[in-house]
Amino acid sequence: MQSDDIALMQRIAARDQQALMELYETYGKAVYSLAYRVVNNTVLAEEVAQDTFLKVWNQTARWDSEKGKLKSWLLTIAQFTAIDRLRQERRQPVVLLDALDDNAETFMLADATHWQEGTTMQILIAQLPIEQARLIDLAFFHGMSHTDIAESLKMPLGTVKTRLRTGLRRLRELWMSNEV
Amino acid sequence: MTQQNNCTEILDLIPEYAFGLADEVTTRRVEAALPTCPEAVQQLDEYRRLQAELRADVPQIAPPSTLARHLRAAISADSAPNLSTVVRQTPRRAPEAGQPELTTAQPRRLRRALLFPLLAAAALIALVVTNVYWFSRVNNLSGQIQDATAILAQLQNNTFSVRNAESLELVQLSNENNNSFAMIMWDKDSTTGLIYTRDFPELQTGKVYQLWLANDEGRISGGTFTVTPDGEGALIFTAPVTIGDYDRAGVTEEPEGGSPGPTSPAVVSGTLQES
Repeated sequence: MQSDDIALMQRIAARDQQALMELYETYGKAVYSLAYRVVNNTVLAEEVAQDTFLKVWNQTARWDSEKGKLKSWLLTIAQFTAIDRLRQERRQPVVLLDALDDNAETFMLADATHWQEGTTMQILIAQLPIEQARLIDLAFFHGMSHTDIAESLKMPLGTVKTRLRTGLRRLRELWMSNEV
Repeated sequence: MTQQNNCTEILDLIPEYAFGLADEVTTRRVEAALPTCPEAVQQLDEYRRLQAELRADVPQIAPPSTLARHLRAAISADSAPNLSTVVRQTPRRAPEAGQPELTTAQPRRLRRALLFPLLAAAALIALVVTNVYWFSRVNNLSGQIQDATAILAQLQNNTFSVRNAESLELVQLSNENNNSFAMIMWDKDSTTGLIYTRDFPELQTGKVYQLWLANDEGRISGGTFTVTPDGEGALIFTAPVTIGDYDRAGVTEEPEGGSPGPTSPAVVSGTLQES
């Protein structure tokens, strides 16, 4: 698989258009899905996905097969491209304060079985306290800094840092124990 | 500070460093300490793998069919030489051996003798260049027509219609804690449906209602809509698969533009399986 990816990327470096379309056929859905997860808009997600593959085509981003899988590398480019686009569009997600109140928490947790994405990471994230899950979402998927989050949530900066750190640590522990 | 203390402190900072949240000072401290703290290096690697999982594990959505076509068009356009390049790259013919180079100092007869072939060559180049130009224009227009056709097809697909009474699926969504009520209807084999709401709470500025459809494979957003002061609203929505493939639907209040997932209690919810 890795050798197939290396051969594919060599063809792309040699400006083989068909090779880029093969890359798209293989990873286009994953790239688009991640882009949509970040920008939450089909038109922007399409642009982000296209920009991601064009960065590969124009060799502005280069994959080092020693450092990781092609898919992980592509998704990293897609995420950064999406976050950049989100910032350009000034579409920072509005954070609902009431989403963090007790009522919302009850709903989210009680209804979790119905609303779950059914994917491993989402199931693990659902095991975190809701405010920690929300902070991880804002920091990771929306590229918000500690300060941005603190301002959006009207929460002390120190609290954001502590909760986020605790949430990330807990998520890593859950993930590690799930992997074993 | 001992190496052990330093390592303990750095371990505390690894999560935010790994997620790119560390400020410059923290980043420098972590990077300076990493070579002496193998545990931190290991944790960093684990966090990076965790990030890769987070990226790959988002709900999978099929990209629109236009994406592949736009991408192909973009790389084709990128590969084709542009007109200015064609003109710039037209080689200046070097004088052949034994043939004098044309300069202003040459006798007028010689220049006139060379004038006709030069004009002919220039005309030929101009012809080729304009042909390339018009060819690319025609290609562009063909692409635009294809795009328009695709959009039209999409709009037609988005039109809500029901073939007959037998194929109509109708479910009600409600909430026992309030009077809010919604109906979702769709044609049995269709990916397009209609939700109609009544007695929904009035929305605050900057808020919309968002429809969610869920099944064992995940949850999708059906789109956002607003309601009248009386709580009436409607939305025609399209899903990647037939509406009947979803088990459950709900509506939540979300920030304008919608959210990746529900962030507030459901105003109404219910199952889609029993009509």
